[in-house]
Amino acid sequence: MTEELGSGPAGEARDGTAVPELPGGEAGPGGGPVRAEADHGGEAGEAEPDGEQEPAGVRGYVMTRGVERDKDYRFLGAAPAALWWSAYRDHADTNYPTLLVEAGEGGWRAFVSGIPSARRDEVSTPIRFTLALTGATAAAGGPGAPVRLDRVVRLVALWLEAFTAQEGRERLGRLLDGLFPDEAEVVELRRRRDPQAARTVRERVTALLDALDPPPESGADAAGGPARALPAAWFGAARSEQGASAFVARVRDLLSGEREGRALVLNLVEDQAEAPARVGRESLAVLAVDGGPVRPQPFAVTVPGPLVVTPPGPPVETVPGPPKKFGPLHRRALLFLATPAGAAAMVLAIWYLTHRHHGGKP
Amino acid sequence: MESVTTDADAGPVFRIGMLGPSRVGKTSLVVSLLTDSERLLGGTPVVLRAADSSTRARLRLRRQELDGGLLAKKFDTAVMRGSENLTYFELDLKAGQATDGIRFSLLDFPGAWMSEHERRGSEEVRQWDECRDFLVGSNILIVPIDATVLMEADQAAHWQSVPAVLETLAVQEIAESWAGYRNLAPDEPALVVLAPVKCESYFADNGGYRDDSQLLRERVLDVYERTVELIRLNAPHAQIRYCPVDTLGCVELVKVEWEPSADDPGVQRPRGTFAVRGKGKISIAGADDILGAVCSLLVEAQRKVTTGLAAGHIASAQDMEVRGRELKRGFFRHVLNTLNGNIRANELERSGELGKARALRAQAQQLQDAVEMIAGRASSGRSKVL
Repeated sequence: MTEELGSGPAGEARDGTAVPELPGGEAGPGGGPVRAEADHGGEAGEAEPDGEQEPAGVRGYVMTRGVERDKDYRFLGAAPAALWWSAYRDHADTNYPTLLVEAGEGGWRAFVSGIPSARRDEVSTPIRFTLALTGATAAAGGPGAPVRLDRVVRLVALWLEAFTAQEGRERLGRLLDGLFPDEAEVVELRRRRDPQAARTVRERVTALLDALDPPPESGADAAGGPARALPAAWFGAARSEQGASAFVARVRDLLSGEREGRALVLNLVEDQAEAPARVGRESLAVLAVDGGPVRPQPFAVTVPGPLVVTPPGPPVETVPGPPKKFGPLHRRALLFLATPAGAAAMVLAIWYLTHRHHGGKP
Repeated sequence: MESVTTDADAGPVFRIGMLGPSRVGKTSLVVSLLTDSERLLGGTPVVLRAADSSTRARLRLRRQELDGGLLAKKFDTAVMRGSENLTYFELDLKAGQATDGIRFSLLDFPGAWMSEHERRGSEEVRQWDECRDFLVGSNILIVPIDATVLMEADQAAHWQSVPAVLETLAVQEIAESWAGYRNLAPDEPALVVLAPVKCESYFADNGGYRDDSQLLRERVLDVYERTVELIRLNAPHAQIRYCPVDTLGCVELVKVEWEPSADDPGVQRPRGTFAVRGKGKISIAGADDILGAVCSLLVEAQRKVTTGLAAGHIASAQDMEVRGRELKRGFFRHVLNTLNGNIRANELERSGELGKARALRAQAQQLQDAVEMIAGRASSGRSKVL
């Protein structure tokens, strides 16, 4: 099994789709610091097997499951150092199609779930793939980076096509099925956590990207086009071609290093109020899977920077009130008047009793 | 680890854990229970709702998938996708217009994490720890059991595979911990539901052709005997129920093939083929028994909490009555406290406490009525208290 891992099959997937050639050699130049991993590395998923340079700036991970019921979803070979997408737990259910891209400080990372496989599990449920990608932006990456990053943009565009009744996501699934055609190998890669298995999977991801056509730059997202004219933060619908086009343009900007921020396709969000808050001046593009406006709308509310808890101010000087046991001022005045009245009443009562006593015994 | 946490806005939060291996049908059962509650709880004042927008959206996604699968008549497949991660559902149960909602949290997770050899990465271990803490601290444990595994085992090799296929040892270990934890809080609700699923071919009360229900029950109790014993030993107050469920109700098992596992030597796994019965009309049976048991327990727990709160307010009112007498003792003190308003303030506070106690008692009565209505409604007749 181990011998087979380094050189996967090429040719045709089960349905006849052309399958890319797998790279046989070692990783090429590129890589570099990835803000995503560096910032969130504290909660390690599973140990990265090695510190290899990545081919043209993209490191890829694949999650899928085996056919048998106990071979549940799991990353093959190695998992990313941080499961950063879990921060979107309230906005996205990653069991269903979700796409997240974050970029900043020369690095980016992407999470793409809900890619259908033709395989079925033991109880005949369709199996799916999830991809996690990370790398350096085109500006920070090596010489091959722009080419490979273009393919990541293409992957995003294909994934989004499913919302507009096209078959892009199925195509991605067929390509991945072609790259992981052997169930025994999938089970083996699920089990293994070693550099060679990790490298095998990364090479398959690279092959997947290489198999994608470079994305044509549409009129919408061309420089000066309507997608580029949108504000830094906007909210739209995944089912709208306008939204999808603007989203792809935004991902291109994030991966190239032109912008820092996030591009998110979220399936638990229907309107802006439910979307993640924009932090500071980041670029934020959000597409709702269900709902959202056909024409992307600017975010109505922007959180100005990280939330700062206002420190308590100095104690407020107040006029000291009357001692509590006496109550308000008017009650004191009443008391003042009532005391002599009470005394007078008592005198009167004593007088009455005395008078009655004398009257009783004349 | 707290079994009943407190939400600042919504009061106590109860927990329900689903404890079953991968692809047994946990998610299908969750969706049936949570999105079909109006029908399942029909005739009672109990209403179940998502407590937040993300739970509402999560349920909608799953319901769409379930309905889509059913409309497409994909009866030979498990309709719901498997889970990749921990999924929490936050829900509110309301049992009467004047009552507060009962908040509870339900957890679904990738069942393979129950198997120790499937938890290799540190992140999987961390997530399983979170999951296990939730399960052990739950008030209610629902254990879905694949009925076909138990009923179609007819050779020694099949029976030898049953513990591995159903993860019975992991279930037993967690149930024992759960019971030990429950025993520390005997006043809190505690329920375990053994829920065989995919039971269509073993009951004759829902369109089925044969009645093997007694055999199914015997086999469940046989395989989970030690689990039941450990729960009884460690948490004598816990309710244990047996609630078999027809997941779809319109399918018939045609054949089962036991195939050797690819990487577990000696283990065979059953693979069932189902055919559509009649016109293929969905007729889920038994889920109402589970939901009824769960709601009844939670509503009763809330009734106890509400009754306790009412008693607290009455005790406060009685203290204030005593204080009022003190304020009036002696002529001068009486005059003084009348004039500075202490007597009136005390009286107002006392009547406020009495008012709260009256409102809570009315709520407790509504909750009591709801419990009786749930108990009194027609059940499938399949459920048994063990």
